[in-house]
Amino acid sequence: MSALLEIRDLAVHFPRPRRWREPPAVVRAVDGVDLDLRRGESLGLVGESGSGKSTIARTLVGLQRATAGSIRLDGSELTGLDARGWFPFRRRVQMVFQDPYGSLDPRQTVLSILTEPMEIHALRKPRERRLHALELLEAVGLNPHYANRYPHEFSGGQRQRIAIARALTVHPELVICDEPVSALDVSVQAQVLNLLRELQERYDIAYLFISHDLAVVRSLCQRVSVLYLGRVVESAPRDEIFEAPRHPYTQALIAAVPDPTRAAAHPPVLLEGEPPSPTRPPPGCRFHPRCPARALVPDDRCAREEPPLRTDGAARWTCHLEPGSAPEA
Amino acid sequence: MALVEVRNLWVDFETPEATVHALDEVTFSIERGRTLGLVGESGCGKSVTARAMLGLLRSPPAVVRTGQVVVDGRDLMAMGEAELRGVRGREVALVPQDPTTAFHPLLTVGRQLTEVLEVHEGLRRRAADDRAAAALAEVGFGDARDVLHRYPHELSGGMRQRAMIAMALLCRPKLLIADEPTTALDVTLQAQILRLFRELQDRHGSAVLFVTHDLGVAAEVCDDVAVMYAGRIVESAPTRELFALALHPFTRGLLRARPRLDAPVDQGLAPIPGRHPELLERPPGCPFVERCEFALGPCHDQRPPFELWSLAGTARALHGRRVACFEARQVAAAQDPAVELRPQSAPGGRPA
Repeated sequence: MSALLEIRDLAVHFPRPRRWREPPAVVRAVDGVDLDLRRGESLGLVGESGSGKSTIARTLVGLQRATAGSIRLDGSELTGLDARGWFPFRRRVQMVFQDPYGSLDPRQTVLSILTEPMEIHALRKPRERRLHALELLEAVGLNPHYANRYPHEFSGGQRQRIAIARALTVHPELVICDEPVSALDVSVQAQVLNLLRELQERYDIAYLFISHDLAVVRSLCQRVSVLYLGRVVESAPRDEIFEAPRHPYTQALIAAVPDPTRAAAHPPVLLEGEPPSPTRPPPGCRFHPRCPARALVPDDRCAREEPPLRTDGAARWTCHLEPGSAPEA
Repeated sequence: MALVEVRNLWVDFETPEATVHALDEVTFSIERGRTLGLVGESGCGKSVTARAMLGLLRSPPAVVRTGQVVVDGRDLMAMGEAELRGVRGREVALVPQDPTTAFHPLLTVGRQLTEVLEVHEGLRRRAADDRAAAALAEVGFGDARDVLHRYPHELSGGMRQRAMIAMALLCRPKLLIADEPTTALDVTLQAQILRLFRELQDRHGSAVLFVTHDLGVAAEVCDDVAVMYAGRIVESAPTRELFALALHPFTRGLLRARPRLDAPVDQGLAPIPGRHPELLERPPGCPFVERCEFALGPCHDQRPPFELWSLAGTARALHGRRVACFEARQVAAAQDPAVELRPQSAPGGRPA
């Protein structure tokens, strides 16, 4: 497996809207992120709201400009490209959005929604486009007879299937899924997650799967990166993240997932407070004001120094705490 | 009699195009100091039930065909608007899903809290300020006095939901209705708010109706859970028992479809095929029949009664497990062949 996507030190900053009697400021939504994704692999990106998950997604499809850093797709640098330069990569990186109601044009039929991307990228002959669209409808579990209907005639789960089919029409290598099942009921959510899994095997697609729901990420992704205030605090293979999380923030996130089988026995260790503003991230380790392990690090280094990058096999995380000295979470 | 009794509630929504049968014989009760989780998928009627219990169903289009919502001996369905206004916010209070739109953006948090006390209890401004500050302190604001002077947009999402909970508890309501109160929050804040609910419940002892689509959340805060499907309650049980053994195929399906942190990953999830019906007609049989793997002949044309069941040979029989399913024995056997179910002859609600 070769690296399909390589993100190095990516930063995306926004000017904060002016506020009365306050100096102008910069929101550091993404502030030095590294991510790697191999062909056919799925990488989960988790974190609280404001951690920068969606900003990364939008930057990868060119909806947002990177302030600094590098994004390489299959070896080619994407940052700094203008719209024309970006165009060929748009086909290769597709996106599925969270809201299946807002992301489909209500005035287009399903068939036209599915053939339009092929027209734009001049793929296939016109007659074949229609056939391919019908094939994909079938592949996502919708009856091809529905091709002439409009989005409002479908349920949320069915619309999300249409959005997935649309992403697949142009044979992407990478599909970015931004909370694709958060708006769906749990019975339907399972249908869509299983579908994403099948399609991945069938078409060898890589997913960057963004979600706030760790159980959902676990069911689909082989690797997981955890974001906090615009930085990756831990990246590791699925089993390591969920069974032996190393960063105190990852541990707290996992402990906070409500779980019917665990609830009665032992209440989770809770994180206090809320993430600080990305306008003025805390110095040192960005997580230190909420970190339950801070007291274990001498000299209050957490508040003063950037935490070092630690590695152990395929896992990498940034924390001042020496491995092995943390109490079991 | 329980503090809160909802009996045989039938609600339709009538529009010129169609009639939607939103609630169909909804019956449950909540004792003082207990939390009942109302769980189901979108469109199943859980929020309609919550709104009916606050007297907030707008008519038209809502038509209450029959039914009672009795809180501490008084039937809200029989009250006029003026009388309801005295009940809402005082005896029955709501914590809404989205605290951002539930607060008035142009009034300070303090003004919105004290108004409740001025209207319902006739307090003067200063006394109301004291009570409001105390309520904010109780939900975890260290700087409660200061928060009184802030506007809602100056608070973060988690703080707004705390302030909302403080507002709902101001008059010590007998019944607190929480409609998906943590759905808009991050998982870490959700955990904080759920813990707050448990603490407040211990202290205040109100009855709580907790509406949620998330079984995990229900497991964290609820003593009992009622599962709704297509406007009906299809199963109810003490929380731990429900998660140990589901008797309705829909409950079992929900539990199996849910991705979990402790289940093997490789076999994928077990979705429920099909989708929730649109309730344009009342099915003669079980509303779940189209999606059900256990369905047999009678399920299609006879309405399964909401019956009390007991598990043979265990003390669990006393906890009032109810399920509306002809095939409950098979559903149970599919999970645990050793379980023996018996319909319980005793009529009526929760046995003492």
